[in-house]
Amino acid sequence: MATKNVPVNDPMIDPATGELRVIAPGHTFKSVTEKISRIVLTSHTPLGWFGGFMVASSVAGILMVAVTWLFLKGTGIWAITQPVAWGFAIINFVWWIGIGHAGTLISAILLLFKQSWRNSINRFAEAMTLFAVVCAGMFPIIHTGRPWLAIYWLFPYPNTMNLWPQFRSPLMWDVFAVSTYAIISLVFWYVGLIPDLGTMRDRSQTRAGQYIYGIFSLGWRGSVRHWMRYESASLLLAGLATPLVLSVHTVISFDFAVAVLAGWHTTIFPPYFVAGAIYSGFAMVITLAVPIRKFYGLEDLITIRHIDNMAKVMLATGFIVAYGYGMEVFMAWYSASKWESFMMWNRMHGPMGWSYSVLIACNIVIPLCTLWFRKLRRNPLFMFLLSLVVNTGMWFERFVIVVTSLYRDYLPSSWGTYRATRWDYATFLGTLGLFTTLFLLFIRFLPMIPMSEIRIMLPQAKIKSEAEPLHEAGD
Amino acid sequence: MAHAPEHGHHARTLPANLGAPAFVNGWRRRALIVGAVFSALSLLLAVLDHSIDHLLRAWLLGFMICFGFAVGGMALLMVQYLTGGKWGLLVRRPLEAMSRTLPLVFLYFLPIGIFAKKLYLWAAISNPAEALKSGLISAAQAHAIAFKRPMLNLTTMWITTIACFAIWGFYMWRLNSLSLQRDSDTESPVHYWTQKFENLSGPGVVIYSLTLTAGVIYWVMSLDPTWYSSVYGLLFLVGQGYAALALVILTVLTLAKGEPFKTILRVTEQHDLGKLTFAFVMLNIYLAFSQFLIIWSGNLPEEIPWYLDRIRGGWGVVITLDFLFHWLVPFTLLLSRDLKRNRKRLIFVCQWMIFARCWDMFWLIEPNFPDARRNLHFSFGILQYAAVPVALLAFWSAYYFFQLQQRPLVAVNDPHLAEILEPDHAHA
Amino acid sequence: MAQIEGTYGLLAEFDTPTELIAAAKAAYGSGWRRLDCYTPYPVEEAAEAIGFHSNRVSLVCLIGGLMGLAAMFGLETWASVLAYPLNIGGRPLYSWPAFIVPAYEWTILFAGLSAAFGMLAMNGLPAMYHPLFNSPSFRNGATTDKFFLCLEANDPKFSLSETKKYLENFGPLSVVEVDY
Repeated sequence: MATKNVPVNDPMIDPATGELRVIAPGHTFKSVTEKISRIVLTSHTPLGWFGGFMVASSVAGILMVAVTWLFLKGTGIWAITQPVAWGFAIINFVWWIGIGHAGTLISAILLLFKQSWRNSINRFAEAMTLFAVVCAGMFPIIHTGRPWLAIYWLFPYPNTMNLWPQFRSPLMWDVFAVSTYAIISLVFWYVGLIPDLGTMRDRSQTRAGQYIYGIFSLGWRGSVRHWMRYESASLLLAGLATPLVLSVHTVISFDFAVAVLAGWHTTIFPPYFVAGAIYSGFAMVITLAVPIRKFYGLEDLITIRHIDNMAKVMLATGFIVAYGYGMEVFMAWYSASKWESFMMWNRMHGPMGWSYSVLIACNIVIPLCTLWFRKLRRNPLFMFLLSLVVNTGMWFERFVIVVTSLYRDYLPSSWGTYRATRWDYATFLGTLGLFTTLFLLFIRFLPMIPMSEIRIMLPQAKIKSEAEPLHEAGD
Repeated sequence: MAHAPEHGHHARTLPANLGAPAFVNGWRRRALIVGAVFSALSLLLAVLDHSIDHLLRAWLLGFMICFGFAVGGMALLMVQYLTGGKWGLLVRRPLEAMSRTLPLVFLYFLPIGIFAKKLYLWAAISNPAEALKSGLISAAQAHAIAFKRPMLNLTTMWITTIACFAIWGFYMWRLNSLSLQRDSDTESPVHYWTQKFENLSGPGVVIYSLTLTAGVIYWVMSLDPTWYSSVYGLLFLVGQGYAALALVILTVLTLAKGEPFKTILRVTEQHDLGKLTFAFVMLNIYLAFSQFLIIWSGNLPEEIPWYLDRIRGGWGVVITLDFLFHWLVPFTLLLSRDLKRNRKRLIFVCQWMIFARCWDMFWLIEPNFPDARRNLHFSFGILQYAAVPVALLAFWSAYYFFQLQQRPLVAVNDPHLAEILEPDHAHA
Repeated sequence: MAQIEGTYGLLAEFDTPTELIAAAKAAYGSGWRRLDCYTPYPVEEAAEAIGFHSNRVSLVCLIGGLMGLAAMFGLETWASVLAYPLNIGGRPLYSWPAFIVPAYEWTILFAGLSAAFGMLAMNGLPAMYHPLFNSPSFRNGATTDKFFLCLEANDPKFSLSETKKYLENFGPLSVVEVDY
């Protein structure tokens, strides 16, 4: 509830607006640059980083084993068969790519809407996007069993067999959506890095650092003409990435919705898939941001304001997701079709109904009851735990959509069930390891907060008008 | 980067009189005259057509548009409280005035509720099995009407409608009265009011989306009792945002010919509003196209007839124009940065968008009826779509202008007021 | 290419963006055209001050996007209608609603790549060597916290001693000569 008692002396509250500050006061251009670049340029790697890297890369090793075995034996080592022909691979694919979407959303949409609080978190959110897309993209590729043949299945090129891909299939649309998404995310991320790589080049004390950062900074020198074109390009990329991110998860929802299967074929899928993707993505940003700001002491750059704002986005997208579930249930009745209503009954009360309960608990009940409270939204530990709950829920959402729509179809004689094998679990676990490994490498070697964008937000960046004196009297 | 001439390099001061400029009186008078002329025209058309069927259908269209302004405007107001931002200061009072037209919108509903049997097949058919036997309706229609009877009956419709209007009425009252209190309260710290409005608007937006969905399913989707689409509520939600935003920008830009908006409207915020409009243009086509693509690809007999009714028999022209009006024209125009910063052109785009919304509603409503589906043809009745909605909108506008005059046009107790009075920057 | 030798220009270093803009405005106003500002973050006012108002990145982006749209839609139509006609669930060969999706993706792909690479090309990047990097103060501050104005030697108004004095009027931290 609103209260009239404001802690007047809290340095983190802006007295003019009564809002939480985005950046703690007292920073200068130099201090933010040093604070952020030191994490990378130090020759002393924290022990905790090594510990994390060891664990993560060993888990990523499991992925190597699982994929090698898959290529040797074929997709039969997974649990997919009739009637559930789509299993973990598609669930994990959708889950990972959904996580990626928050990164694009933070960097693109919030840039367009001038939400400057995003500046502290957009870099690592974009990195998260890239690594999540890497993990996601792996699943459809290995799912083909013989990915070296997938080239002519997927890509339109003139081959000796005179075959062309089938463009009416949403799986084909997926190829273009996901590959475009991967490329544009990479470009957007790299373009955003160029000025900071220039800073790293100039601040690096080692020869190797100067060379490597120098090459990747492309010789950036901060000319205002360059900056203006750079700003235009950034805004354009943001403007393009926004409809792109919507389209990617929409196309993924088409993978299901274009089929005529009850439980898949419904028009609410596109917006609610997109909202769900953002929901889980923001949860993942919180999962990463809370430990990082603590470990590297970045509390005054990634502030409570960020956590609170991300929690609000989760609340909003969580409600869209809940609306989607609600409309699915309502339309199962309103359609007056017995297939629709059976599917919904079976999803809730059938032998796999437990998964629907987990989904509702993790995605709707727990987050949407707690996120209303300002106190909880501003508690990093709570938000960290909640983000894990939401990501579990979002994984189960895809599980419910894929499995419970398939395992009991129109003919009772063909009903079956689905039980994942150890290789299913190993592959999924392995991608978690790969994601963490890549992320740890990123925070060790690249500035995880965009220095140039933080500088814009400092009070020193404000241009004083001509009437105000430039210097003290007598200067 | 043309700076508007009135933007100097120093902070401006707010004029003493924050009331609506005098020319709003003239708008009101003109709206009333237009309303009267078009009412007479629609009566004449009803006589020529020997029926009030089309009058009612066109009335439904007019009602849906006015409803979109009143309730969509209120939703936009709540969304603004939640997201914050300087543009809120510009649109707050016009949006509040839009929300206060809710009583009139409820009056507009009454003929629809009273003559429901002339509009809704499920209301007209009391015994579906009987009607099927006598060949009045198809088997699919009979099944749907019988199955959905618990929801699709007049009592439930009235209860739902009145409940929805009561809830919107509550929010209208809370939002409007708190806003005046905030203006006069200079004691409380700023964040007291920000949080108070956040606490009101958060649940408000959720409730709005649910009540809106219920409303549009009853009033428009159930015109064809067999068809269903789970994205329908969201389509209307975005459509309301589309139209309400266009109207509020139109209001702000035309009001800026006089004080106080002349002082507080900066190109920066105008550009921001333009971008927001662009977002709604994109969202709207996104939802509409994905619904179409899913149903087109599925090609199921339960769903596809709804589109065929609206494509075949001349309706293809209407939907093609709808695509052009609703998306291509505003999209192409709003792509330009200069246009969004140009007052005159942005006014044109907003007017265009309101027209496009009406056109889209025509395509949604008219093909539901047996005489018109897959058969677009001329009758005096169809001209009602040009008469009744204009009359309803004109009377609604007169009431809206009246509401605009009731309050100062600028909310003064707002942390962003100082910022908006600062000189304009060229930042995009 | 012949080795260029001599002076590239004079570089004045400032502590705040406000001072830089004042100096840049004055220099542009008194007729300097070969000049540039260097800042550690985008300062739009500085670009305005030296008469750089608009750029063509959006145009390149638009053209790229339209090319992507045409390329993919054309490819889909050609492959599905002419090269490899197949009946897929009774859908028409020319299934334009389905073709829109990949065409849309390629519009964004081409537009995005055009914007990014167009920006780099127009900026003349990558450029690993630039004379300004010879100045230690530039290397130390330009990408961290200092603001620079460079009056270049190929401007007709340039004269080593006069220009140096001129720049010192603005109260910079330092004015240094930059060689190729």
